Amino acid sequence: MSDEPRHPLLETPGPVLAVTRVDKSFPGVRALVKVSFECRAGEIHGLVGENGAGKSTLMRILAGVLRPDSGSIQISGKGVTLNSPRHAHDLGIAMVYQDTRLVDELDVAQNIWLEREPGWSFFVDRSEMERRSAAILLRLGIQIDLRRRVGELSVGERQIVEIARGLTADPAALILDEPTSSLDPAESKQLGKILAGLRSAGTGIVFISHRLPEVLEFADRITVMKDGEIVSTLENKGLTVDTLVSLMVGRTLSLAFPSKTAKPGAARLEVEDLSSLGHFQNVSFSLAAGEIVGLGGIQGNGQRQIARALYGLLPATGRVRLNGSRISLRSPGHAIHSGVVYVPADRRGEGLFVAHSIRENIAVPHLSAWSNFGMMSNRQEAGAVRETIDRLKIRTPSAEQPVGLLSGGNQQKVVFGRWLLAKPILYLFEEPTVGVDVGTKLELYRVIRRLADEGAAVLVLSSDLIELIGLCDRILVVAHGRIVDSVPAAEATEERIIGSAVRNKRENALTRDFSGKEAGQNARRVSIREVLLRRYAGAGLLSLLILSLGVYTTLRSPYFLTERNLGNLVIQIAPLALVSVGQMAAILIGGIDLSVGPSMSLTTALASYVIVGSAPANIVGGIALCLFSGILIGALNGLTILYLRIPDLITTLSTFSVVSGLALIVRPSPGGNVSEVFSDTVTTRIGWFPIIGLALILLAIAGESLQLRGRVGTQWYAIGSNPEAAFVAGIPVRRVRLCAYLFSGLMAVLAGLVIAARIGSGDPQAGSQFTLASVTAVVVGGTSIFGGRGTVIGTLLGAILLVLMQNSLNQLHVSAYYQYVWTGALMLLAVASYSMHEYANLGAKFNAGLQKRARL
Amino acid sequence: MSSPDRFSHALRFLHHLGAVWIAVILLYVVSGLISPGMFQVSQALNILQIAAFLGIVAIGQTLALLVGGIDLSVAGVVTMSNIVVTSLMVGRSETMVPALLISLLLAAAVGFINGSLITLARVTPLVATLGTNSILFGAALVYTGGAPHGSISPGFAVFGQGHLLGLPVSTICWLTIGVAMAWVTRQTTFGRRLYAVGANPAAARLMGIPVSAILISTYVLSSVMACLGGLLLTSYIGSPSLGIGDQFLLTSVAAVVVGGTALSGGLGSVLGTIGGAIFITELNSFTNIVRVSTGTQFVLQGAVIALSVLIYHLVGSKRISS
Repeated sequence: MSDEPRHPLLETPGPVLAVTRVDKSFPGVRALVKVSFECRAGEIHGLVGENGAGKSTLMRILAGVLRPDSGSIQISGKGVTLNSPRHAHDLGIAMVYQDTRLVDELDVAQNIWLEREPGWSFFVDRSEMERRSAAILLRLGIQIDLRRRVGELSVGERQIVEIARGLTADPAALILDEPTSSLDPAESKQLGKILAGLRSAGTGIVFISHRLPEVLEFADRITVMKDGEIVSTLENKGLTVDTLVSLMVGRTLSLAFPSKTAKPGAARLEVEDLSSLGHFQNVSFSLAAGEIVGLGGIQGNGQRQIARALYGLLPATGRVRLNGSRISLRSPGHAIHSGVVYVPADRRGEGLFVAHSIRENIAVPHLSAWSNFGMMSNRQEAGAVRETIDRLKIRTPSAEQPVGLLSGGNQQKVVFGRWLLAKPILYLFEEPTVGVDVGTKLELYRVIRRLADEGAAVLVLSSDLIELIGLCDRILVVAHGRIVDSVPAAEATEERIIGSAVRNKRENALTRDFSGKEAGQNARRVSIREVLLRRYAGAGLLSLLILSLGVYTTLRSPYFLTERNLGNLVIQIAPLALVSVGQMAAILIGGIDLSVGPSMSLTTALASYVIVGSAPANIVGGIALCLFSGILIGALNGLTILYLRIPDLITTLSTFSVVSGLALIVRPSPGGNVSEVFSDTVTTRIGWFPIIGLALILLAIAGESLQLRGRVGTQWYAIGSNPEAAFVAGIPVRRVRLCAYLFSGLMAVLAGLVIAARIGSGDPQAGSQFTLASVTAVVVGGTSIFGGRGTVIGTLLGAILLVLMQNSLNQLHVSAYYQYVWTGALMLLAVASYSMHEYANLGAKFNAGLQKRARL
Repeated sequence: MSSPDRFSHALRFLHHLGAVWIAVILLYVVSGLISPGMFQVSQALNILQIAAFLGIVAIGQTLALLVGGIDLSVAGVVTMSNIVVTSLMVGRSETMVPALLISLLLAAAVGFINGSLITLARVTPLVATLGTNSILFGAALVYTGGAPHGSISPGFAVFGQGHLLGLPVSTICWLTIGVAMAWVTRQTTFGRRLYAVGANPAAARLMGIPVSAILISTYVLSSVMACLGGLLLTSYIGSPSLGIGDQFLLTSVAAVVVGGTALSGGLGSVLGTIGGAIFITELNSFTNIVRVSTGTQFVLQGAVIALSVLIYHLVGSKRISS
């Protein structure tokens, strides 16, 4: 260690972080077995191991995301139990994730301080937050505008924001999970400097990486893991990549990988000038029978997109020949038909039907082949499935076992096995051994080699360069969407591959704009105007629409602009506005509340019994009782969704039924009298303007300030936009979601009270139209139906537009029956245009950032 | 064996048998003990006759849930087919076949629109079908002006009201369609693809399955099933009635989830839904026997939906963790 520890307490560096004999199992896997590990103050501790060795599980335990089955954790010598990510962070463990856990919808400053914002109990001190963020970024030596949305950052910048977030609490230990996999060497160097700086300040740093040369360069000590166990912990003196690898694999490299092909056969795949806008350009290469070729380089430079384009998942131009004849790249169906198959990296997300049996999983691509006139042949299917299970030695009690219950290795064998039957010409493997134990890994390497030996061409993508070098006959280096080098097996080393990738970066000035990472971008400034426009453009548009509708109706009907009509309008808007703001909360956090309409009905029914007479105490008591019913319904919804894990849709659909029933039980038919004092108070006007309108304006102001500067606003956006990120940032996700449903229930009651005041009696059907109308107002107001984006102002304007339309149509003597038609149509139109817009944006973002790990 | 163990063991046992059929039998016995009339063959047949309408609509709903969606527009489609077919038949015989064809075509068109909204315009299934449901209801109001006229062809009544070999014709229609759809979903390539799309659309796409086409045809089938249910119901009551379909919005979902189909898609069966439809119909007649109010019926219905999802959920997670 070159830097002397300066902190007086750290003169004898003890472990800041230690785990002792930790065990952790998942269904079908023992992820950690009696793991003991420690990181000292002021050291960089490298942690290496193959995919599935247990590194990530160990780190997730240290970050408080997972709980160990047994064993203990000590921080600075004290035994602790980590209850949550928040707890771990408070105790001084900061975690920087591999697939950055940031909230795209929030800006840089908000992400750095998520759930730890400086400020007061309900509000965030934005200027203090910006000041402190700037200080941290300065310390890291990086400039990023704090107002930029994180969704538009490059992977490198996201990584920096993550690290900045880790430093907010001056952690005792900083854990970085694969921070360099998407960074180029210059950026990695920069990171190395930052880490060295932190080390000399006494922080203990755990550095997990696949890139062994970097680990050897940065780390003071290195721990090697294999199959959930610690193999050994070594001082970084005289270690080489080869020693590390043989520890990781448990045998020497030459034994781990099958021998390479002697001589490749005839050309199987010929790719000429393959281009896909924003992903890669003029890619040409060929693959021979018996050859395994890897696509390497720094991750996120278009390797994955090339493979996906060959499988018809990404539009591309150019010529692709298979066995000499041109093939169409229109869809996976076409690709499979011509003999191309693809094994994706995301096994659970894209590879398997987890709840279905092994038989069903294997059969899917062969349904046509195993059927006559669309009818399945069970005998043919069973035979073929049996054959696959035997050939790959899939360990399972029967072919009917759900694949979700198999181990990672056996799952991957099912994914492999389903394609073998079709005898494809070209295999595309993306991360073929991710999340698989070492034993199965070696089996899979042999399977891949055998496929090549049998005459197929194989293209492999892997973030693990050792795997790539060990398995492939040739490695094509991809940098910025071009193939810049072709490295034969004999010459392949990690340095050579990364070296070519970087050398050629400068030569490809043309493709610079792919990355969005060139010098100018980092310094991109965001003006206040841009921030406002981003948030309020939709609301502005809606206001214009409302204004023009108002003008048009005024011109056609003189009655429209009378004080009487305007006053009535406000009173009509109020219930819809109130219930929609509640609905918005539910939708914003990624849920929906269908029970609001019946809740309003129930409120009017209750009110007609309990809000009676003229004694203020009675009236207040009655209102309190109604509000209590709203809390009960909200709690029922929230608790059922969160603790019984029944989806929001079905939960609120069943409360819809239950509450409708209760309303009918309370008051089977319209009737009763709501207190006149209450009615008069609610509908009081100052001049023509009802005071309830003032209440709405106050609601808008309060709502907007809570969303913009309140803690709860940030929490809502974070949970709706990325629940996982919200959870690891320490937001009490369940409690916040429960509160959103409580709020929705309360707002429905308030809306119901306004209706009760207006009609002066109870009606078990009074709210029946409001479920649909509230959803419509919310989505017309610009809230994404998928959550994470929306404003109170927009929702209020949506409610105003809806009521105004009804009023205008009445003035223009259009049949009231049409309102069902246009409400439904308006909702569909709004959701469709927003989601198509969002989808297009997603596509654009995907195009712009080769760096960004694709989530599509 | 501890008692939670025994409990979960019992749950698993029921699950293998098809829990819904146990529930159907239990409820029948309970209602029979309260009102012995239930044990008469005629009463049992009556339940099966009535269950047919819900049963067919729920078969369509099953398909929508199997692909991971939901179809709330079945309510609007039932109302539409009722209004359209009566206004076109107007009590004459020669109009019967064209009227039936037109309402089936309209229903298919609605399903096509739902499917397109969901796949092409990327609207969530809930919002898409809630929207079309509202539009259909509005269209029915506008078309009839709030006061529907017309009646069915004389020959048409046999489907809803007639008996064949002692069995209600409606029940025969329902069971025939049910068995046919069960076969289609389990034993044809279309059905297997439907399950695959429901379990994991992204993986299905990577296996070369035309996901959009499967989704659109599923919603078309769902609408056509709702229409068939609506036509059978119309044949039973003989006249038009606005909002006649509204009851099916919740009951169809209830029948499907009671029948064991998961909301997450890809798990469940048409045969389970047949049991689910019988259970819901039994429950309604049970509540009539014990003379509870409409309000209580709604409460029960909501509770049944939530409870059955919960029970299947428990059984399911027990299975995965065992």
